[in-house]
Amino acid sequence: MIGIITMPHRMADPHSVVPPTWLLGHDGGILGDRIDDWISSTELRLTSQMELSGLDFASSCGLSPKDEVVVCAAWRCTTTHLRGFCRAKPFRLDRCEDSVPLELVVPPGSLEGGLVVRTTISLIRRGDAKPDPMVANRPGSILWHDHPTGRMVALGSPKFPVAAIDFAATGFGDAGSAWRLVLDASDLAAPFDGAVRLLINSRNERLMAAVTEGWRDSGAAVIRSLLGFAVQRELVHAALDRISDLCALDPEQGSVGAALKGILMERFPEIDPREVRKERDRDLQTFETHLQARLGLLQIGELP
Amino acid sequence: MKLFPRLDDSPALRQHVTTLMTAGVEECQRQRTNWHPSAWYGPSGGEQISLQELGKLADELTKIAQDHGYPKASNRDTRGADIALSIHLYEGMGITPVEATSGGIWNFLSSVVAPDLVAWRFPVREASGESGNPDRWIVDRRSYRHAFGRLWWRACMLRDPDHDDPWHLMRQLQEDEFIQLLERPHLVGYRDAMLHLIGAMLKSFLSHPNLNRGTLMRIAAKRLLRLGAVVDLHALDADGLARLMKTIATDSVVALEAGHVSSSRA
Repeated sequence: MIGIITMPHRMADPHSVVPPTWLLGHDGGILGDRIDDWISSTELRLTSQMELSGLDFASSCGLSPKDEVVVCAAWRCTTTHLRGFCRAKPFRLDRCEDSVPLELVVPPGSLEGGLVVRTTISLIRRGDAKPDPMVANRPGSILWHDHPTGRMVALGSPKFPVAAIDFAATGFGDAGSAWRLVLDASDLAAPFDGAVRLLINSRNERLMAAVTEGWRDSGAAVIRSLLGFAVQRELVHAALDRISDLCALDPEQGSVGAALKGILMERFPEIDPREVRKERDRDLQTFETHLQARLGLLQIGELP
Repeated sequence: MKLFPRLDDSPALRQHVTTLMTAGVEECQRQRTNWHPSAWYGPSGGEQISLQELGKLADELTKIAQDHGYPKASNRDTRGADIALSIHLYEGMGITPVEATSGGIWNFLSSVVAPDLVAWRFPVREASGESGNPDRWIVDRRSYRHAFGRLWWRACMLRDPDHDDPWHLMRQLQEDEFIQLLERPHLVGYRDAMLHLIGAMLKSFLSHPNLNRGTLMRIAAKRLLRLGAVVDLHALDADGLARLMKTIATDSVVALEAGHVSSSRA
């Protein structure tokens, strides 16, 4: 017969595997359906422990306990279509450890939009078992995967325009300045991407390192938290300045209006935005203190 | 990393490009500039490229094109130009894949910075009733067909850093073979598997010089895609991938020689 014949084969009993829970490398938090404070020029590190019962796994997919499998995890970016993966050391099912450690590293500059993470257990080598058309035989055959479509994670900030420039050379600030948010909220219908820029002073080496060299350093996490707070604070104030206009219109997705309205609804979900404005007008200092909690200033989890 | 100016796809841009497509190389050269009032810089982190740097890049691309026949319409070495431009765009632009997925940066390069190079590489022969292909000028959904975007992605995907000549794969493949591989986004995602497939197919081309290379590559690419539904290509190490790709290459040759697959439905 011509060509590659892919026979259907038995998949593993889902109960023989505990799907992995992915943890964010920078703060140890669980990977949810969104990653906030994400800057695409930083590395994203995800870790997990895969748990499976080797003998139950083998019997459910018709394999011998002496057969070898491998656990792989792969990431895929829904926008760039780039992929990457990690592969654990292959093991015999009768010598299966209780858990298999996995670590996915997404290189800087590879992600935008959405992230899909998928974990598989695949056949590597069969022993001397008799050929059975219902049992996987081809190396690489997928015996278990965590979900047909994997996990979709919205990435928080890659669409937020960030640029590193030399402040002193361009007149945006002093040589010792750190950052500046340039926001034009005059046209609420304008595209948000075109109306906002976070400028980072390229001469500020500590800040540049914090936003470009991954999330492992606790000092960098503090700087990013401060930066995130400063940006969100300016957006909240801009939104409150235009609260009447925002409440009167239903802004298009991706517009300045939608972004400003969105941050109020996200950070003050249970309060009418007009009441938030009144609170700010009544007592600015108290409002600013509340704002620190609402925007999660320095709430960066347990630092190493 | 660098950020390039972006020009969004719009009715105005399409109208402008329609004019450029039929204007000819000389007129496009006159319309060259380094900035456009509708341009904006991208969202990902990086340093905005200066106008001087843009001008320098345009000059370097032009020099490469001149080495391959630009601006003349005759005796163009388009394959040689594509390879040299690919390498220079990849090494010279200094952008991330995230930046490269933005159609806007490619629209800006083709319609503002170097429209004459696009007009030279993809000329419209009005006498033959051709209307031109806007995909070469404006990124619609993906940049795999854009005059410059496709070259950057080609270099990004086929660079082999472990080889003495990192660009050896690009130098050995022909245009139709690039298309069979790089215009299949699912396949592009499995870069290791794709590089092993190319290696296996290049050996098949040598041992079966009578077979149509583009057709053979199409058959093999489709086989690999089908197999990818049940086999995790990430699970296989280099030896496993090499064995699998050798099987695919062999079976593709057998299928084509036996006439089981026609050129059109391969």
